[in-house]
Amino acid sequence: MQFSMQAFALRFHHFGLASRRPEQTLNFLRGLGHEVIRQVYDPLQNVNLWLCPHASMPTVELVAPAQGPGPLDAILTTSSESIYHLCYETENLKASLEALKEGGFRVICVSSPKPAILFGNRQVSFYMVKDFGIIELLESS
Amino acid sequence: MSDIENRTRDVMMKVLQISPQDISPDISRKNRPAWDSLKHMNLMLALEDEFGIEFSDKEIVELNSLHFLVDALRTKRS
Repeated sequence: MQFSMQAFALRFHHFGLASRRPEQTLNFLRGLGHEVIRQVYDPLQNVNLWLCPHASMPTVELVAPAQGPGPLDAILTTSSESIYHLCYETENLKASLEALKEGGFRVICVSSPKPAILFGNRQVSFYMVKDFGIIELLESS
Repeated sequence: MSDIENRTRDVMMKVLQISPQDISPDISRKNRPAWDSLKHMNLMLALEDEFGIEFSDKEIVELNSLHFLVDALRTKRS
């Protein structure tokens, strides 16, 4: 099956990088020229988050476990760090999900829409796309 | 042991990376830490491939033991 450009109406936003040792990871990102423009603890996900844009490279969201169980437990089992999701913005979540399914992609909801403190309480949700991996969908408003 | 259970166990071994003797009849996400949330999604996708079926979102959340999985697969294939 072939798709037109922007068939899913998704726009790349950032890479999600999980790390058990965020200070060292931040040092590396700063060395690459990334800035840290926001740092928050997200109680809904129980993770610490840093948003690290760059003048000419894609933005990285650094995600580190907080105290207790959290969503990174399954991600950081065999490695201390992992790029584990790609985030895309959507103007219309329902339409984007429908387009993915109509395109023949198997999409499983991992985490339903919740306000994301890192992004001014815009809604984010996570999905497993078979043969691609985990995507985060960030709603535009 | 039924064909469905044998095939389910084979898929579990591959996805959860555990040996046959680790798959007890009462294996579930509660008593098997290796069966984490990420592996659970991969397990459900692999079972969909194996049996040519599709689980609902509700089933993906609720089918968290070998017993439940085999029962659901029997129903879907009957």
